[in-house]
Amino acid sequence: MTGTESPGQPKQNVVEKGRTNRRFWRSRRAVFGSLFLLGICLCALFAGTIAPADPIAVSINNRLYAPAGVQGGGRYVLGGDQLGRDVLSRIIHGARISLLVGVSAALLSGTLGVGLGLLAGYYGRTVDEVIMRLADIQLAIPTILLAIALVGVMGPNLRNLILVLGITGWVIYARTIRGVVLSLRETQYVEAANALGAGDRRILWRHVLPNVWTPAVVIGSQQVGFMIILESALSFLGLGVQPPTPTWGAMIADGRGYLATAPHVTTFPGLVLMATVLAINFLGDGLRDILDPRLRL
Amino acid sequence: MIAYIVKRLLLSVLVLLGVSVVVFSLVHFAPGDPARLLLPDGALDEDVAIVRQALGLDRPLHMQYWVFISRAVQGDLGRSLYYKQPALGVILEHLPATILLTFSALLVSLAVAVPMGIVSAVRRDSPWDYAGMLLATIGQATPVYWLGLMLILFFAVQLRILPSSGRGGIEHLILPSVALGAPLMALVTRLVRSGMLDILGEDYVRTARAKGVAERLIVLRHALRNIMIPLVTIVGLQFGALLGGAVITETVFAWPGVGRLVVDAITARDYPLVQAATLLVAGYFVMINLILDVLYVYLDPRIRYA
Amino acid sequence: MKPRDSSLSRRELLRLGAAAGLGAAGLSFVGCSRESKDQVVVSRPEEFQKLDAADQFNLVNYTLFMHIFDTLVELDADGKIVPSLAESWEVSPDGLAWTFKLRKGVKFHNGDPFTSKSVKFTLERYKDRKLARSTWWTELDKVDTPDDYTAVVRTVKPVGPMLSNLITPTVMYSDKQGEKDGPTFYEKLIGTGPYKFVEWKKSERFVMELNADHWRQPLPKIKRIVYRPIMEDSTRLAALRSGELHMADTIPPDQVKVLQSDDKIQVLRVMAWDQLYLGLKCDQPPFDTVEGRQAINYAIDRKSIVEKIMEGGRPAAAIVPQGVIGYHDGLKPYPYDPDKAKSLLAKAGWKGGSKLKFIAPQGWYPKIKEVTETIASQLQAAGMDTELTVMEGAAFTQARGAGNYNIYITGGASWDPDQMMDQRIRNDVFKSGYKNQKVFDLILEGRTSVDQAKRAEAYKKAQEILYEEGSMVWLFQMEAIYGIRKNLKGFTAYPFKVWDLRKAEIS
Repeated sequence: MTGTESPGQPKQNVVEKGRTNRRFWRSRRAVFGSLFLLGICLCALFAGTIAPADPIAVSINNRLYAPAGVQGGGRYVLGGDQLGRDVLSRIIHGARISLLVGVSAALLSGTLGVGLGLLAGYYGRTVDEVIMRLADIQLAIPTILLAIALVGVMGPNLRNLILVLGITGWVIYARTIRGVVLSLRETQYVEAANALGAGDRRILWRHVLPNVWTPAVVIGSQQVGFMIILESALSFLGLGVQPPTPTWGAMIADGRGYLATAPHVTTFPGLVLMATVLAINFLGDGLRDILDPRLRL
Repeated sequence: MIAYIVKRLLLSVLVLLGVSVVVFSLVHFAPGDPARLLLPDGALDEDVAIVRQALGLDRPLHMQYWVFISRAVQGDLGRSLYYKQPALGVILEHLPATILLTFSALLVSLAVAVPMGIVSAVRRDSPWDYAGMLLATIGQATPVYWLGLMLILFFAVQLRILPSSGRGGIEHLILPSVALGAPLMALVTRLVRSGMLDILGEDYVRTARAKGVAERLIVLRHALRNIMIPLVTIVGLQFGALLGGAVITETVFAWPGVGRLVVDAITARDYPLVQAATLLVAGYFVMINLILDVLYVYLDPRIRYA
Repeated sequence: MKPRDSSLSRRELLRLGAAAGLGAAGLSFVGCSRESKDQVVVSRPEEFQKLDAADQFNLVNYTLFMHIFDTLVELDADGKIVPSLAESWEVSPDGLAWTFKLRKGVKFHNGDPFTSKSVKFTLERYKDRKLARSTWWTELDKVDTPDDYTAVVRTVKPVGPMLSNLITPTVMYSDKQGEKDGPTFYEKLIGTGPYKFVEWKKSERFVMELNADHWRQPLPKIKRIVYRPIMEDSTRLAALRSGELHMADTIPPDQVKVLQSDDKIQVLRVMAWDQLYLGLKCDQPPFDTVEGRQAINYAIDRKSIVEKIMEGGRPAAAIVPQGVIGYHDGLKPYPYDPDKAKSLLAKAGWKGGSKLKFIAPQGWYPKIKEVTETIASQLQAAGMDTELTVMEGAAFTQARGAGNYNIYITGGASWDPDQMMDQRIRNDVFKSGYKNQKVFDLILEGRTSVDQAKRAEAYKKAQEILYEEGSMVWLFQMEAIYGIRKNLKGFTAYPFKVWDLRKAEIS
């Protein structure tokens, strides 16, 4: 894993840089992924202008309106949901909130997890033991219990939802980063740096951190999608966002009762969710291809 | 090695203690009064107070915790407020169902994911690869309950070849296992594929191929060994996720497991049952983790523990 | 990573797989019996709760207990009280003693005879205030047993709803069995009913078998009843459609079309004695004035909610639904008039600006999310901005019980007006702050008159006042929708959401 160049140094070589960029563009996946995500982000940012209808206005005369093209449909392109709201508009507005939830939660758990993983892997022994046992405790507590308690005490709102999701997700980062750091610890350049008298913090910052950055990003990109799905699961159990806020997760959960009669209510948000996660995964793969193709995580 | 195991066991006890404290606090801080929930909707405040007192819920929190933990170490995990029966008994009635479901979901997902990952890696960038990756992403990105409901609609209602819900023979196990195992299957497929790709490019593999060793042997021997550690890590982690995901699967398929029991107990604020169940599940989980960590050391002795 | 020279990896993989496989195989499967003409499988999205009939209030329990036990009196399908274990009864002129003449020759499933001592044993248990159903019996003094087949129930004050309190779940237990088996005697579920208890696997199924020695002839035709709780609506429906269930309770209204298109299934709709209402906080604006409370009544379009969202049921006007004693057919649901609502709000001095706290319980009633979201938007259109929170059940009961709301939504199912009015209005358990001594007196009169006609009058008068100024905004009466396979005949569903398989059969 250790090449001839020191991983801490950025790739200075101009030729190298060109090759990197070309590798990215050659990967069809990474390109597709980033384009799709760009589209989603645009939706999130400009939801108000893009969306054709009001995502919140209840219109019970349009309940379960069929999508355009299906018999009986027409007014709404993707149909109306169980309260007559335009599914397409709700999906567009939902992009904003779902992405917010996913990214914030992934960032929160990522920061927590990478930090703890670094400490555990680098300092080892007691610190490692304590952190790993904390991880055990964390994993042994049902997410639902945490969700109900936190949401119940602090109120069911977006911020608390992100908090819950973020707190439950740190372990996978911590464990993986810890593993990476443990292996790195034994390598030559760290020993050399130590021998040269570099302090712990400097070693962590310059030599270890850049190496964990890559797996962290890869895990993080996966976790964003995972967090959005988890939000959907919490919505299924009634612990998600409050009505009438549209999130993809809540739309899928609330519309599941109509799978047999009006499948468009769950299916369209579901497809968008799937495509987004796919895109995130492709982007993650692409990122990994550029950053370190030999790093397989 | 023995010293390590003993040390881990002792630490496990600490972990369980930690879990019990956290869960106790969480469940007591969650708003809602179990005494009120045990009475009909319009119960009078005096009646609620009488029930609270009878259940010992008006005593200070640290006292309640002490009572719980001191009895727990003797094997008495309290009485469920909801069922009015010993909590341990109630949990043990439900636990086998969840363990069965979790293991079979694990089996199903590994049985599908490992070969699929290998095929994807060996035929990289081919239609096989894309199909595999697509399937993997669908499994990962689809909410478990949605997948479960689709499976039910298709196999139970349309085709009528599998039962929709409940527990029974093997036929009842199939759909829930597939639904529960789908996300894990997706994860493992990608993992296996990555690990395989990693190896297939290495020098020693090229050497082995040049020496004429049958390709299949190379694949199985070296590549699988390479992915064992991350695989074991992920499987260990996902166990917790499986137990959590089991809640949703159990709800959708009316599977009488402990996941659903715990959620219902939380909803009813059945403190003893929640505390007992999480303690037992945590114990089970800690044990699995210990086993996996020992496996970890076996697989790569470079990772030594001081 | 350098290759390691060992073949442990494959072995480990195999070991992992074997462990998993053994784990799975080693645990026993529970076989389930196949369908037959003698067995009926039914489902409701509710679990069978605790085993003590006196300590629960769950409709599934009521239903299943109705098959395993008998009560002194019963409600027939029209809602009239008819004899069961009590053949006849009369009440003393002062209303303090009810004398019941009991049926002879009735035996419990374990052979114990049913006598007046059984009645005494059963009813005097209710003095324990820890039991959930003890609130119906706070006026109970004692039960005298002058002879084996006469029981005299004595109360300290006249109890108007006495007969209503004696139908399910007030099932009769055997005194002999109670003595023999101690404080948890109820766990054996030994009753006098047409079915015997077989087994209860929690969250999985509850099984009953025909009792061939039952006193009531003709015996039920179904030999075995299996109850399976299935929480998820879609799953329960799927099980009905696939033939695994003979009856599925609580069908969501939109799924009715799907079932009707299946020629093996029929849909039964019963107008239930269960109405949804909004509770208002009457000591805070805008509902601290009569105008404010009337305003919200006019602001809600009940008809379109009933037609478009619930697709069944009917708008409600007052606390007592049709068919229950005390029903006032002169009170009609408020019409939808948002302009009138606005003007009333103005009269109440409400200028808006702050959001009203609107709480709802998640999952208690079908479509609660849609109904509350629609109401919230209707209120907003009338000038009342709300902050809707669909809370988890326990958190909701906490907030509601503490009076921590401006508006809450709840249902009320009952077969006697006293059940809701005494607690929710006279005792104001939800802390609405509504006080009207005249109304309280009328409710008390209803509770303490044994003359049923007088009771009805008192309740009607109370409702008239409440209609004008009460703290409850009555939304609509709900319909209970059952999906039944056509080969199940004779299924009866009562308006209080209990069903009856005692006269059913499979053809």
